[in-house]
Amino acid sequence: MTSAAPARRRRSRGVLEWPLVGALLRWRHSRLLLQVPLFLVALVLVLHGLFGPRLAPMNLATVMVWVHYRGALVLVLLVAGNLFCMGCPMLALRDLARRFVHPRFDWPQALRNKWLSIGMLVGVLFGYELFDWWGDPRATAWLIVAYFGAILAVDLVFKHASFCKFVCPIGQFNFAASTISPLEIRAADARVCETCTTKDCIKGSELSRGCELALFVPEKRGNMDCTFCLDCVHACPHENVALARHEPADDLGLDPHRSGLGRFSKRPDLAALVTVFCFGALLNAFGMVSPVYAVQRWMAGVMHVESEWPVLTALFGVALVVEPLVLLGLACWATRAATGSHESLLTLGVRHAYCLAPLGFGIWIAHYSFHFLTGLLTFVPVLQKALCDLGAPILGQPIWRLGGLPKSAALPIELGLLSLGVIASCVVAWRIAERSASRRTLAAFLPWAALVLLLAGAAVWLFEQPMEMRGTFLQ
Amino acid sequence: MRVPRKRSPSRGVLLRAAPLALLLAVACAPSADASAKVQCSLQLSPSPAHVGPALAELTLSEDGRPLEQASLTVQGNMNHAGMVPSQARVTELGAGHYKAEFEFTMGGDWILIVDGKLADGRSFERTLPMPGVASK
Repeated sequence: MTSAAPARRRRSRGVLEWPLVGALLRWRHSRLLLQVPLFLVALVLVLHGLFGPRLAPMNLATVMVWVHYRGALVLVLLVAGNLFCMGCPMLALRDLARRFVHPRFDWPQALRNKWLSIGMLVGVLFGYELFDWWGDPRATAWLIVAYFGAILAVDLVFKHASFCKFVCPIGQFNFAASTISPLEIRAADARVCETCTTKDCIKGSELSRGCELALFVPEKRGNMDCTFCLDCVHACPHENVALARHEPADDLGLDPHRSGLGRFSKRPDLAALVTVFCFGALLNAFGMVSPVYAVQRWMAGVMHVESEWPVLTALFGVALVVEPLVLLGLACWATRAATGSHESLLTLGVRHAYCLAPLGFGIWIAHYSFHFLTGLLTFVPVLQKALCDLGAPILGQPIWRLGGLPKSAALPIELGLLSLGVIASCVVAWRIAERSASRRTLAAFLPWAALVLLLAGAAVWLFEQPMEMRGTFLQ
Repeated sequence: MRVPRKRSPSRGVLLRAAPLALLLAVACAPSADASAKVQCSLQLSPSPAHVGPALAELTLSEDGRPLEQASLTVQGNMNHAGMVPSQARVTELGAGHYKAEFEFTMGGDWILIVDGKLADGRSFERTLPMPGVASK
């Protein structure tokens, strides 16, 4: 007893020791506190999306999903961590359904990677452009319903968190983005884990289930694949799991064995996820500026088509396949030539691609925070109108002039956030170069720094373009 | 061999009640819109439209007869969420013509929502699409 007491004092559980918040998070049902309100919000959005006004700026589904949810998601990832996965209301419904239906199958071995979820992420980005979800409350509502349906369909058949780890496109976005988050789940004291014989954090106990995403706390590094579900926190009988400080992007430059993931350098699918995350950020921003229509018209002329999907397919192919292959290929080739390495281009690409994660996040957060900040209060008149339409004008008549920050004030914030991403990407690129070519670090670093700066330049150019959102093609 | 399933009594009641419910719903539906014949046409300048101040000339008529002394509220909205609507200043020009001055604050697809009350007290709302507002 006397020896255990000082040891307990030494190890810190980070946020879990904070007054009030810590106690709340340590409570077994803390996750429900986030999930239940978010479930109710999702329900309201679906109902208003289906039965409310058809005009997107007057419907809570489109306003809250495409302006506020996306903006809040990236800002929370920046200042805290993957709290939106923690509060995912779909998981609450799944857990409820699993009381009646018990999944029997393990997720197929061949699909235990990120390729399917990368496809889903690209599919969501593609659907967003093709079907103009941003301007369609009904489609947005059905998208929410479909998401709930998808998680039930997968997780009532397959065990553990198969949907979160191998399918969920939002989850993959959050995993890639949370590599820059300032908090992570980890062991408070590695020595306690060394003496632990029960491994409840992964196996589960009568207190709680173990990690459904196969992350064994003592060997967990960083935030990739962590949904902040806190199951390990509740399962550990030694109270040795911490929600503690994480140096943003720090672990992207390292390549230790990670529980549930292996080594990043041996995971082409993870490297592809980070690459799509970064190039997808540019593509998504490109989809709402004026030049995209000129490009689409030109492509339609070249391809002799009048419908949008072939043009979008070609655009996505160029932006998410051809462009990354060419640019990363050139960076790999330059790295190999400059360092005299004999490694394959694929090996080099998989090792170095992780430096694009902070830049990708910088572009996403610059883009989404622009909409979030400039449209911050736009939900208020929409909510007022919804209540008026229901015959309960408790918030008064809609005040349509409510908006947010002026666009001119948002641009410096955008550029500041993007700059942070560029700096973090360069630091990660340097660390990877240091690790892989200790004698020729600068030579290994420069091609990737050039790539980061090139992509950042493209982002700056995009942010300075006049915005233009159209729901019609070739107009 | 398939065993014929016994139909539940509650299902039978529901099946019989459905046409009745439909009949009641139709009978209780609101009568035809009293302002259904009100025509609202839009002439926009500059044309083609671009970001900046804009002037919409609205013409109100019913059965070919101009509608004067209507009280109009006109709001420009984008077709996507997150933008503050552009409220128009409306002036009556006479002979069923009204001038709405407002501003296109961003390029893209816009929608003009005309909310009006006619001189005889009838209300109406019209949504007029204004696609492809250029950003420059």
